[in-house]
Amino acid sequence: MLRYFKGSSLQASGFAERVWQFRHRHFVERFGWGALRKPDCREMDIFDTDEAVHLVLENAGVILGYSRLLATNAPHLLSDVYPEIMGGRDYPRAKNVYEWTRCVAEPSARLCGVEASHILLTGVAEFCLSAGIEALIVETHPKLVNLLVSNLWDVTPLAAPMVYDGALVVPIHAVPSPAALASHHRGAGVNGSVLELAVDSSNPVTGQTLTTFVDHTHTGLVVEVSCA
Amino acid sequence: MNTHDRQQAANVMFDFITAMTAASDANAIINDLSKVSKTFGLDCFAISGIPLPGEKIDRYVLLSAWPEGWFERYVAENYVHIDPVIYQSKISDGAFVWSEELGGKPIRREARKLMNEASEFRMIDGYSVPLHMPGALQAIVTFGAEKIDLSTEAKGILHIVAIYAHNRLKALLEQQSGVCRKDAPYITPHERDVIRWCAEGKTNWEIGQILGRSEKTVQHELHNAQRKMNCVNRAQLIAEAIRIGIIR
Repeated sequence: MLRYFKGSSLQASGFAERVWQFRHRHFVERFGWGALRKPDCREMDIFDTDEAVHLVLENAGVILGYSRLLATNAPHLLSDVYPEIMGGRDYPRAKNVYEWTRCVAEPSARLCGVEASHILLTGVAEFCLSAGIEALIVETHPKLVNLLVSNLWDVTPLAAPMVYDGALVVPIHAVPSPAALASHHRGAGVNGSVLELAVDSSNPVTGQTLTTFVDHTHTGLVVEVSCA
Repeated sequence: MNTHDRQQAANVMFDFITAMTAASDANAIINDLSKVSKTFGLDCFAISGIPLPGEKIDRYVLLSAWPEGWFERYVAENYVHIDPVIYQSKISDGAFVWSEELGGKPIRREARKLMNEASEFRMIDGYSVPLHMPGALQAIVTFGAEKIDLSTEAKGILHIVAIYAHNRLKALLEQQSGVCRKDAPYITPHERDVIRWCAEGKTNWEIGQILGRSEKTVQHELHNAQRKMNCVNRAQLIAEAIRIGIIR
């Protein structure tokens, strides 16, 4: 369900074009982020490098959701595009701290009996635990802060909210945990792993083989078994 | 907001978040929220869940620093079910100032009566923060005042404050209401056996051999146990089982 690609493996997978178009359709056309508009309707930027982590929620080849994670020990949005959001404060930048960017799901899409946006959120949490990503830096609206806090993420605002490009944005430091993942599972009706990893997937933090944190796959079925 | 004001406002927010990590009861939260309220020119506040149609709100109120007398009136008249602020909070997850959001809209006669009564208690305007979970409204945090004059940044800070106040309150209430109940899900004897053998490092197939059951059955029992104990994998299940005393 949620596929992971690092850098150019996105191109190799054949999903790249659909991803650029999906991003343009949602961020430019739907949300009106004019600064991202491209004449060929493919939204990509200078941070889509070989190190970028692409999490692609797809069903039968159709993209239903997407998130991009950027390592904070390399240029990313908060360091290079809008550092003023930090209001002069510092934040942790490390190889196991990633910036969570371009997160969006197709509204009212579902797969395996679960809302796409819920699978996306669950999948990001599961990916962090699987890859050993200790924390995510996010620049977002206070509403998402509540979503994460209610799901037992350990969230700390990094600066006071400010108005950026006409909207309220607050930078946060969000730490996922097994308890947070379990909370997502309960709330979303997920009963296993939502990650789909290629056999040779490498952990973006360590470079070793990546394995899922949850050892069984989500089945979308609730099975009660009684045995003699 | 100039830089100095922004720094000050940021400190109000950070101080509140820090205070919440130490707040040991609802009164502590009320004290801290009072300080923040005064800073932004607000007079009163409350945190409440939302009753179902036909229910009364009093059981759902988590924390109240509402004007004396108004709370009793609000409950007695069952105002929660005609309050346009409550209705707005249900249909949208955006925080809003009452006069800004409801100002242009037509108000039913009963709602108008409610608002007039509220203004007798000097709650003429307010800022409400609905806290939605996917698919449901968890709670509303509302600040009331005679007059609201909040910059967008101030609204953002109050939104964050509301989130942390509610989160701490919820945690304290859960702690009080029965840690024991939450800590001891019912694990069947079969499930307990399976967990014990997991902790010994046996595979599902081996456990099936030892207990005379199929590997599939063992797998299902394991998944049931994980679900009940809110664990997502074998290692966490074993750790949690040891923690709550199912196995040593």
